[in-house]
Amino acid sequence: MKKNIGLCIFALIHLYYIIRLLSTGVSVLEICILILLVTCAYLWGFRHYRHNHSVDASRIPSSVISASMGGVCCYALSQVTGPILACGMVGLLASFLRHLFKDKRYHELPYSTYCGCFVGMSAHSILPDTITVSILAGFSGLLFATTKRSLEGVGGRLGSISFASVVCYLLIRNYL
Amino acid sequence: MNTVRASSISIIAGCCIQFLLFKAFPDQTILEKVPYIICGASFCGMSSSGILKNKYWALGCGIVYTLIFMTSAFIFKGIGGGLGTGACLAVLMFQGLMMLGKSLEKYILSYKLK
Repeated sequence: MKKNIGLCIFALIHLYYIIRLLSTGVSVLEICILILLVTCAYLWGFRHYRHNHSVDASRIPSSVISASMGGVCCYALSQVTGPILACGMVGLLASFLRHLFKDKRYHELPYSTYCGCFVGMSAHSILPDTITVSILAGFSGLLFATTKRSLEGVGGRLGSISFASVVCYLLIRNYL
Repeated sequence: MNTVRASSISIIAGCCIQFLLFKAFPDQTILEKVPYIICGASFCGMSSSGILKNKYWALGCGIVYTLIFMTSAFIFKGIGGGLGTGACLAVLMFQGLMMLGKSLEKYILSYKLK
């Protein structure tokens, strides 16, 4: 079970997303179909991700820093260009980091930066200042480094990680 | 080309497409959603070939994502990562659909052999 903690984190994020969908007026039948299909995919994931899930601690600082910088850059740029174009531009620049840093430890810098970028896409009414963005983006970088092998190869994984960090902040802010 | 670069280029292209479409059809407010849909669909396309076996699977996944987006876009408006989570759900849902389809096919084949 310890090896699948990353998958459990993703399952919780997606469960929260699906439960919020109920408030849109989507019928219970549609939600049940969605849950059934996603559960099938997770069961396949639990079966296939049984290999050793060891966290490489040497990659955590670079992930946290790059995610934090990606988030702040995207947040600042989104005031000028809007969040989508800001994300695209920062992501494009981040994709060239692999050529700048040839060491194997830094191969995932583009992904962690892109992950932090998604936190920076948040509206200014939700994340009011740059410090909050950098902390949350850094947290998403930490989650990225520690859940590396969970849902590997599934698109939208980075976005789920950023969503988790922003939602955690909103829950703490609203209920504490 | 890595997946981050591919996704970023798709997003920038989507913004350019929206700009050109707005010039041609300035009254269509639905065009505001074009970059968001392209952004989210590009996240679906970031999946590895082990998850989405071919381009038709990616196309199907994009369609599933669009349905999820049209339902959920306004709930998570302004929350970073909302598009990506929808994309992840779309990929998982599509993968679940394909798995159920294969299981059903096996069951029908075994039933026919009997």
